Amino acid sequence: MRVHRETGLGYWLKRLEGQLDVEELIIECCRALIELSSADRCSIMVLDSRTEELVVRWAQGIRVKPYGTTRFRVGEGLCGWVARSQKPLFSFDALKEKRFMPFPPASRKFKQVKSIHCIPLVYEKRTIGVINLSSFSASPKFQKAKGRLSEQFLNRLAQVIAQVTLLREVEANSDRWRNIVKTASDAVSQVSHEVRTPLTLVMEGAQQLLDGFGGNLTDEQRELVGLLKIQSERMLKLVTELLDLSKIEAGRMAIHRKPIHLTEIIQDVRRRYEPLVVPRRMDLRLGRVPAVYGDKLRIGQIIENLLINAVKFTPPEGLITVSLEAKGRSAEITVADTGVGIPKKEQRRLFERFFQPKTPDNLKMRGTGLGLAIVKEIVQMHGGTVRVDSHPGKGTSFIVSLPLYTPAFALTEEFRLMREQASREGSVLACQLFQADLHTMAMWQETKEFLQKYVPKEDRVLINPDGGLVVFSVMVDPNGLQAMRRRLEQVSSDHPEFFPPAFVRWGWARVPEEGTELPMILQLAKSRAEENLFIQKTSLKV
Amino acid sequence: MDTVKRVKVLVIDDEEDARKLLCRRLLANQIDAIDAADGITGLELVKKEKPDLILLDIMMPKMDGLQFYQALREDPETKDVPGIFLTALCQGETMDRHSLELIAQAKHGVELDDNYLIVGKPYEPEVLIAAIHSLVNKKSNP
Repeated sequence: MRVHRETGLGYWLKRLEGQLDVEELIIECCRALIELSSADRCSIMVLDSRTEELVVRWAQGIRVKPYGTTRFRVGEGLCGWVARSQKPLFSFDALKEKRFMPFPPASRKFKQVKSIHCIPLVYEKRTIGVINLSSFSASPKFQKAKGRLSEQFLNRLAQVIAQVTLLREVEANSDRWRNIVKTASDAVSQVSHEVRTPLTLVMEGAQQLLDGFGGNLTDEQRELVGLLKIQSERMLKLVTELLDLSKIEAGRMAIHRKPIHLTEIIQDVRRRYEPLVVPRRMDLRLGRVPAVYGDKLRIGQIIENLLINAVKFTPPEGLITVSLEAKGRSAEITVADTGVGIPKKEQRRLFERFFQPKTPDNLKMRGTGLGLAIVKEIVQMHGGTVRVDSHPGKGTSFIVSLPLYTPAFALTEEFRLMREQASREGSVLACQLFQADLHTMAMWQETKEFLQKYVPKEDRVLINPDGGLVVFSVMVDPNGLQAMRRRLEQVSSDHPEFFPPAFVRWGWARVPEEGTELPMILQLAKSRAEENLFIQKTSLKV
Repeated sequence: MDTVKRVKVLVIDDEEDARKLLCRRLLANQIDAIDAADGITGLELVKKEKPDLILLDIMMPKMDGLQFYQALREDPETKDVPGIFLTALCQGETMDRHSLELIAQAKHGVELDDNYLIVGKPYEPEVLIAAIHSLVNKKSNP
């Protein structure tokens, strides 16, 4: 096949290089192929690598859509032969070809072809499909045109189709995977809840016995009932922690963040856990630290877990110190004990689920093995870090570092969580964010026009240079915000050209700052897989 | 003779053992207790027995705790009876009001007033009893 200087194909080649909507593009290619080769019909078959069958994916010039129903095995019929041999085939009178196989009986309503031109689509030496061009009349024009198709064009088309096919598979697999994770997590939630209810009743029953509801208990009875209660508490904790982890995994652990002060949380945890700590001593060393951006309950859970952990490994005469200090732009909580310490080789595995370091016999309080795994997850959800510093025989310190609250940090975090949410849902937050001034930011012309026309000057605007758009409004008045949201929704449907062709969705984030709220409107462009190719890595600069 | 009126609480929970244990806990704290296994019976009992407060499970078949609370608020006769939601929904810790309100909004499209408290399951007996007294006292001395 010679490389042809056909201007039409040059145009299509260009489009192949830069075009986004691949499905539409391939259909247009079919039309172009029909025109250039004077064919009546063009279909592109894709090789299903699992079944070794050719399936029609795109077609033009056929009234009834044969997609998916018409399948040929490799080696079967003309197209099957082309797929196997990777050689093009031209037959002036297809019906006379030995290899010719008409469409299966179900597709008989198709008009019978006369001449046929089958071209293999080969990418990286593998057959990925076949182009069938056919003519209902044995026209000499059709025969003459067969040399017109440039190799460069066909190669590029093969490449695009290979990518689309691969991405479809990836997409189908990741959907399947997401569903599996969701189902598993639903099952864990359901089971956990079902287990929790009877457990809480066992605990309350035991407590009522201990409270003397059934009469006075002998010391031995008291001990046995106490054991019943402690063990059901332990089981409840395990179930609760499993549930927490499954929620984190499925991305369903809701965290409600606000500027919070760690001092209060630490003091509160101390009050509640004092009885557990004694006879060990507990010291608080709380420096003055500005607020962090966090979920009060979850941060409390971190400190609780670290404290319980310290108690577990510290002998009764030991000391546990909880300290709080500001370190640069972070707050550091340290829970230090004078316990048995953790050998170096076990330290790496500390945050793994169900990992329990060996405990000396005299410290027989057993945990669930999930506490530290949860600590790590929650710390990460808050954009922080946790590390351990331990010396066998001397003691262990866990150091949690949480970023201090600033409105900019809060915003960045909200965006980060939204982006994670978006990616779990299979959508892409197609936005690279810049803190931008409407007048100084160089931007795409239509985006600029859009903004000038519809977004009030006083709103801060974050723009994605790829044409996607995030509008970040600093308006505090909720009515104003509602109005703006309505306007944007209306504009997006009136002017689809301003928005990516995929689905547009509005998300909300609220960033509370001592009574103020900075609402945001953002656009989530749910991306189809092939568009992912063109969306650059997102990054945040707020 | 001391004639201080005893507090009367209606317990609504579909789990029989849960009702039994709760009622016994209340009685031990000098609180009168009546109970119902579902929301419909609960609503009848509220009118008949005029309890000072309702202890409510959230997850119940047919009418859940939030729907019951809404029905209670819609009837002028019962609209001021305070409620305590007992819930294991937000595992391990007390659920915050914000989450409960979101759930009420999302599931049933209702807004909760502020005449309620939330106590997590498993409950600390002292916390539960203190919550009951604080709501009942708020009602008698608004």
